[in-house]
Parts: sequence; structure tokens; C-alpha cells
Amino acid sequence: MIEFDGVEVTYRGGLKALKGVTLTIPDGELVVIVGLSGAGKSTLLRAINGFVPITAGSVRVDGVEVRGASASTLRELRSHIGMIFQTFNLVNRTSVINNVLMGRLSKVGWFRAMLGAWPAADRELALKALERVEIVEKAYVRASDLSGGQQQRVGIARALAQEPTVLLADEPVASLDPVTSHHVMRDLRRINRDLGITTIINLHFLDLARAYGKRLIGLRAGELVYDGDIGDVAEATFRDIYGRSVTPDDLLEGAEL
Amino acid sequence: MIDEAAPQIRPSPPIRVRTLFLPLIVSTAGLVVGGSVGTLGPSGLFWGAIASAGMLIAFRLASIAVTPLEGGLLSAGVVASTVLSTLAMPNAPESVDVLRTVTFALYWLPAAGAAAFVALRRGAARSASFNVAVAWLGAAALALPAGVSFGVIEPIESLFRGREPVFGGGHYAIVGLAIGLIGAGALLAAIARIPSLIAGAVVLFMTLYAGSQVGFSVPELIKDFGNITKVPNFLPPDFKWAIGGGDWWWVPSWEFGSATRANPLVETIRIAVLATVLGCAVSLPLSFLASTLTAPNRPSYMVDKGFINLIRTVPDLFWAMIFVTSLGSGAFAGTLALFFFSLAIMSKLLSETVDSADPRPLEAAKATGSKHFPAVRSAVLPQVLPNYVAYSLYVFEINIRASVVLGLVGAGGIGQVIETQRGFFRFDRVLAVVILIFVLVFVIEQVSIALRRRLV
Amino acid sequence: MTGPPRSREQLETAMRPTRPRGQLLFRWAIAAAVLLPALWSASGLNVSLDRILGAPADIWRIVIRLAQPDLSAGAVQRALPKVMESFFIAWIGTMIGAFFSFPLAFLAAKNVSRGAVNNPIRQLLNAIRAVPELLVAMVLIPVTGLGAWTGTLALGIHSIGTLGKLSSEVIEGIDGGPIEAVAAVGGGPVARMRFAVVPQVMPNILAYWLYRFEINIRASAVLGVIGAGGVGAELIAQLRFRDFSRAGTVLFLTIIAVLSVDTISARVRRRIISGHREPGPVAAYLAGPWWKRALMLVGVAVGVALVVFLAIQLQTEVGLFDA
Repeated sequence: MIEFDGVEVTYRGGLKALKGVTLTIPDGELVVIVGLSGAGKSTLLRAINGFVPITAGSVRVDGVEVRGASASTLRELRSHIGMIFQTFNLVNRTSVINNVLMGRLSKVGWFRAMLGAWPAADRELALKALERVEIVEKAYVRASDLSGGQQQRVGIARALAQEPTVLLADEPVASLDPVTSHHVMRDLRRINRDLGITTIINLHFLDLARAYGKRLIGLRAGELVYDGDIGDVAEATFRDIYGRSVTPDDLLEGAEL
Repeated sequence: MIDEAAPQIRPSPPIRVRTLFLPLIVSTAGLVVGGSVGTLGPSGLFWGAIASAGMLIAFRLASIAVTPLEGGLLSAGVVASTVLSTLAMPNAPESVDVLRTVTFALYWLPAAGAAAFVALRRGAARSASFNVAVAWLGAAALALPAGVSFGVIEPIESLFRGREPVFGGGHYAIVGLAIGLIGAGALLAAIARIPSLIAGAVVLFMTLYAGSQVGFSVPELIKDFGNITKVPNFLPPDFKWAIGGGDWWWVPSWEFGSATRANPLVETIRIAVLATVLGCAVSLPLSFLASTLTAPNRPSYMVDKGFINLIRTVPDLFWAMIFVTSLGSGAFAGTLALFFFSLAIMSKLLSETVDSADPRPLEAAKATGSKHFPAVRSAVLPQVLPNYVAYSLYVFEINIRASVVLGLVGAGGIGQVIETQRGFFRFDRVLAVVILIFVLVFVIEQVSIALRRRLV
Repeated sequence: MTGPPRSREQLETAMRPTRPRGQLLFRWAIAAAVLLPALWSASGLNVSLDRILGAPADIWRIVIRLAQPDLSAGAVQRALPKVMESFFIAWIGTMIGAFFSFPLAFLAAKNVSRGAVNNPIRQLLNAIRAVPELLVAMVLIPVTGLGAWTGTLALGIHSIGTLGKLSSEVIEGIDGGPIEAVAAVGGGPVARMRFAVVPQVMPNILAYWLYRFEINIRASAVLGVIGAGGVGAELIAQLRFRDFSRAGTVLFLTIIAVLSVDTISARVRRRIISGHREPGPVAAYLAGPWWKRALMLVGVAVGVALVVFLAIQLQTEVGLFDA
């Protein structure tokens, strides 16, 4: 359970990225956050694992307060929150399996991690994670030799290797082409359904949000402007979120909504 | 239809370095002439008048328009400064010291102020105008030591032989040359917005000054190399001795020390190998602490960066001297010296590579709740590992070359053989060993370069 | 695995790729290639364990005395001219290197000169580079005698090799388009160099010259060891007399000189490579609010006054700059 209560985030330059956001995300839900770039989607996501320190209000994940948490509490918290990035953030010069094993860093001892001597159980877990995103045959290939969609699936596998309870996906398909975008989104939905992991996805494209989301959160200039079932979303709602009518640019395949 | 194109306003071409050469020469000539005729009468006034005339002609030549007010101000400044400096220092100082240099520079404040003001009025940036003033004062501060140290002064001075105050003539000409080159260069460069001109003037002046200090002289050089064949015990190199009868046919042995003593050439390689391995191994963690990307906190970064910068300033042989003094002569001291030397080079190269590594994987690793160093090890180390290996080979090349000379200060290796034979004035043997080393270093280097090229 | 897979899970496991053995083998090979020569080297250096264990204490005893340099006027007055001499040697050495390496670099670059020319020139540069400065100086001493000029020449010769190689690599890395463009408008070989190559390579080559100067400062410091001028002779003399505080003075001044040259040179290099001005302290001073300007002005005034005061003190006490 993730609880936001009056969360405000002000960056050091004075930019207010979140203004009094209050919301609750129960366990196992799939939530899609939409909004223009700069609306605070990324900030909202990063407030959950403490990457962005909040300046007012409170964020609780499974009852643990994130604001002002000690370094070890944050590490403990992050160890069961998986994160997926727009730019994949893989280590290009090493193998896929080593990238996935990074998800186990918080679980293995310091010396084992430094030596890269992963326990067999963790290797097994990493291979299982790769199997779940159907890319296990690439386990010993260098990450840089994969295509963009494959790299993002490795990113998902890395998050799954954490055995997370929460999955944060920050614009996971923004660097991908339409076909692989759908593939990655399907993977995420399947993981949410099969494993019951709370999944929060930032999206730019409305049609993807509508196709894969259950609950939609709309942000505009740091404020929560919509929070409800995706089925109830009307053109007016999107105008609220975007401050204008939907254009083909807001759609992945340029089609009508 | 080219002729019928609407008339457009063409921008006037910017003033270029080349256009400023003549003005610079004229203004410098003004200062030099003024200085050399300074002995004739009320020297300062005379010198100043000629100098400021040169300066104004320079502006004219460079097509830089100056108002009468600006020209007058500049003239007044230069005249005031020259009067002050000649009044205060009518005779050549017996020695140049800091106090004299500083006071002499201060006398040039009026000229510096006027120049900065004119530059500012002519549209130079405020920082550029400030630099102009600094350049005038710097030139004045450099001028006195230059005037005294230059050997080239004598021909000019002989023109005035027999006249009373020797200082006025020749020395002030050099003073004028220094101030003219740097100060006037700065002024013109600031107005024309060409910073490279002032850089050129400073470099030229420093080169002349440094050249006189290290004893550069073309006739000497020609004479020396004319003598090259007459140098005793130099040619031909004594290869027979250098190759000698070794333990194995490819390892030469020299009549050096006792039988228990290691073969110096082998020792040289041993020192280089061990120092490279140890230095590169230790510098791996140090480099990660010395990069803002991977340092766990600010204090450890500052301490480590400071440490690396400090050990980097000490030259290789200085390390060797320190360790020979504290541990006695021999290969142990040499190995330690090269260890620190490799540590410094590798840490600098690698920490800069870490700085430019991709930070995003590290963010991803941190997002999994990892501790700092395991995250760095998994996310950053793989990125820099190929560079690390290439740098290690590079450090090995440098170490091979450095280990050859360690023996000169008693830190083991083949350098000791050279030092001994040099002591006997057997330069033929020195040359033979040097050529032998050269072949060895050359081969190792080429192999290493070929390896490095494959790696990265 | 024996027998047919029974469950879906086992089927998936069977589809996994095997861990490649080659990488592991390669890793062991690398480890061996590093460790075996290291062990061979360590075994040959005749160092007993108690000597290694005792070394830190021995070094510390000396270093702690070196770290308390004798900064009295007499000591500084003796060491400073030597440090300055090293500086001058490095400067002229770099100049010689820059002057001769510049044309050679063009001849050695594969993309602007013919194979018959660039091969021998490249080998020549490699050959020059392979001989350490000190050995060059040693060979030169019988010809040019002891003194700063020998060291300068040695540095200069070595710099020709290194700068020539680095510069030619810069030239080889350029964009070939402009060369074709100049050739297309009828430019000859000299015009091609002047208008297509030099503008592209000059910033990087200049930066290498400065970088070489930084290295030469260190190299010239040690030339004194064999009497080729500079501060090295002073250090070795003080260490032989076991006058560690005086040796500390030499080290201290050398470190100061090298550090300041490094700092200035690195700044200028950044400026050359980036091609635009970074806001320096003067610009920051001019751009700040009035109280900041006032504060900095006071700071600078106090600093200048301090330096002048110190200089006057040093001068009246000892005549620091008296030759």
C-alpha cells in the first residue's frame, strides 16, 4: 500500500514539481500516470523510492515513512521496489545476466557483491526473471548487443530479480518503437496479473494508457487533476490533463482515440 | 542579376592579428627608442613622449579611432609612468630583487590605469580592460629582471659607451621592449577583441627570457656540434662489452658487483613489472574515490583527490631519491618509487574515465537498494574495465622507460651500469648500453601499443 | 540431465543457454598473465619480509622530516633559482619540441602524407620517444657540457618524439571533407594543410603542447641528477648531506611550482579545447552584486598587501631575488 498525503516537492532551483498530491494505491494495482512532460510524473514516481526528497507531506510505502528515512531504511525500502527506466540504464559493457544480477545487490553480502561471486540461488532467480520476460537465451550476451526492446526487457528482469512488491516504470516505452512498446506493456501487465506486484507506470501516450491501464492518474503542473477508472475517461478529462485537445502527437500510433 | 541586388550594409571586417602586427611593432619601437635615448636629457619625459607618440601612431595604423581625450589620457599615463620610473631608478640597480621589481611595477600604475580606461571606452569587456591593466603591470614587473638578465643587451649598450648613466640606454631599451610587447599587445588585443595576441606576446617574451636563462645561443650550439667527432671515448659504441657473455645468450651480463648480484637488465624489467602490477592494483579503489560520480561522500573525495594530486606532482626520480635515502640503495627503493609513480598516473587517468562514465546504471543499481560500493562495482567498473587494462599497459610502458634511469640515483636496475661507466668516462660503453636499452624499450612499447589498440 | 523433461518448469530450464566457458578461461589466463610475472619479479628483488615490514617506519622517519621544510630565507634563496631554472628548461624544451614536431606531425600523418614519407617519419618519432630524457641528456653531456642547456636540448629532443606522435594522431583523426573541399576549389597541398587541416587540429595540438609542458616541468626537475641543470642536483646534494629540512625545501618549492603550472595549464587547456571563455574569478567579480564586489576587492587588496609585505620582508631580511 502506497499512501501520498499532501506531498509537495520543491527542487533546489525553486521549481515546484508536486503541489499537495494526496492519493492511495492499494497492493496489486496497476496504475498509469499521464501528463505533459514537466507535469511531475517522474517526480511522483521517484518520491516513492526516495530518489527525490519531498519537502512537505508524507509518503508511506507499506506503512514505512519515506520522508526523512535513514540511509539503511531507504536501502531496505528500495530493495523491494523495482524500477524500470526510460533509457534502460543497463551496463552496456557487461553480460545480460550480470545486469539482471544487479537486482540481487541488496540481498547478497558486501564481499560477495564486490567479488561478483553470486550465490547459485541468485543466479537461478536471475535466470527465472529472464525467462519471465522471454529473453533467457540472451543471458550471456553483452547488453549493448541487444535491441532497444530487448534491453528494456532486461531492465524489467533486473527489477523482477529484486522480488519486488512494487514496480515503478518511468516512461518505459518512450525510447521504443510501437511494436516493441506493446510487447513491453504486455509484459508489464502480465507481471502485474501473475505476480500481484503493485505496478505504477508513467506514460506519455494516451492510447497505451487506455489499452493497458486500469486506474488512471492525471497530473498537470504538479497537481492531481484526475484519479479514477480508465474506463470513465472522456475527451474532457484529457483536455483537463493536457490543457488542450488530444493531438496525434499524444498517441503512440497517431490514430484517433 | 547581381548588379540590381538591393544595396545592403556590409559589416566592416574585424581587426585581425595580422593587422595588429605593425601597430604593435610601432608602439614597442616607441618605447624602445624612448628608452634608449633616455640618457640624453630629462630622460623620463623624453622617453614617455616618444613612447606615447608610438602608441598613438599604433592606434592610427590599426584604424582604431581614439578621441583626443583618450589619446591625451594615454599619453599622460605613459609619460607619468616613465618619468616616475626613471626618476626613481636613474642608475642600473646592482641587483634585481622583489622589492625593486614591485616598486618599479607600481610606477607603471598611471599607464596601466590609462590603458585600461581607454580599452573600456573603446568597448572592450570589463574583464578584458582589467586584464589590460594587469598586463601593463605584469610587463613592468617582468621588465627589470629581463633587462638585467638579458645577455643580448651588450651590443645596444656599446652604442652608448662613454656616456655617464649606463642604465638609461641599453637597459631601458629592454625594459621598453618588455612593456611594449606585453602591455601594448594587451591594449590593442582588448580593443580589437583578440585575446590570442596578448597570449602570443606573453609566450614570446617568456621564451626569450627563458632562453637567455638556460643559455641558448646559436653560435655555441654550432660550435658544440662541430666538436662532436672530437669528443673522446664516445664513438664507436662498445657493443662487444655491452653484449658480453651472459647467463643466457640474450641476456647480457656486465662486470658489475658481485656474482650474487642480479643481472641489471633483468632487474630493470622486474622493477617495472612489479611496480606496474602493484600500482595499478592499488589505484583501482583510489580512482573510484577520486571521482565525483563514485565517491561515497564529499570529504573522502577531497582527501583522495588531494592525495593523488600531491603524489602526482613529485617526479619519478625524486621518489627514488627519497626511498634510496630512507631504505638504502637497491631495487626495493626503485620498486617503491615506481609504485608511487604508477599510482599517480593511473589514478589520474582512471578517475577521469570514471568521471565520464554513464551515471544511469549506477542510479539503477541504487534503485535496487544496494549499498554504495557494490553498486559502483556492478554498475561502473564494467564500463571502465577496458580502459583500465589499456591504461595498465600504458603505465607499464612508462615504467619500463622510468626504471631504466632509476639506477642513476642508486635505485637498482640497468641505470647503475650506466652511472658506473659514466664515472669511468667510458662514454662508448654508455652509448652502447643506451642503444641496447633503446631497442628493448622500443620492442616492449610496440607490443604494448599493438595490444592496447586491440583492447579499446 | 537424463530422461525427457517432465514438467514445463524443467522444459524451460533445459532451454537456458549454458554459461560460456571461454570467458572464465580467459579470466584465469589474464590473472595468470598478471600474477606470474609479478611473482617472478618479486622473487628476484632480494627483499626479505622484515625489510618490507620495516619499510613503512623507515620511510615515515624520513618523510616526516622532509615534511618540515626549512623555509628560512637562506634556504629558499638557495633553492628557488634552481626551481626557476627547471621551469625555464621545461619551457624552452617544450618550445623546441613544438617547433620541430609541428611539421613532422604532418609528414607522419597517414591521411595527409604518402606512405613512403609517413612510415619512416613515424618510426623516427617512435624511436625518439623510446629513449628517456635522462639518457638523451647523458649522451649529450660530452658534446654540450654540463648545465641547463644540455637538459633543455634533451627535453626538446624527447618532446619532438612525443608531441610529433600525439599531433600526428590528432591530424589522422580529422574530418576528411574539408580537405576534399579545398582540393575541389583547386588548392594545392600547402593550401589544403593551411585551410583544411590546421584549423581543425590546432586547438588539440596546442592543448598537447601545454600538456607536454606540464610533463616537462617534472622531467626537468630530475635532470639535475646527472648535472643537466635544474632542481634535481640540489635535492640529491641535500639528501646526500642528510640535511632533510633543506631537502624538504627543495621538494616543497618543486611541488608548489608543479602544482601551479598544472593548475594554470589545465585551465588554459580547457579554454582552448572548449573554445569559449569560462567565467573566471575576474568575471565573477565584475558580475556579482555590489557587496560581493566590495568583499572581493577587500580580499584581493589584503592578499596583494600580504604578498608585497612578505616580499619586502623577505627582501630586507635576505635579498630573495638577488642573483
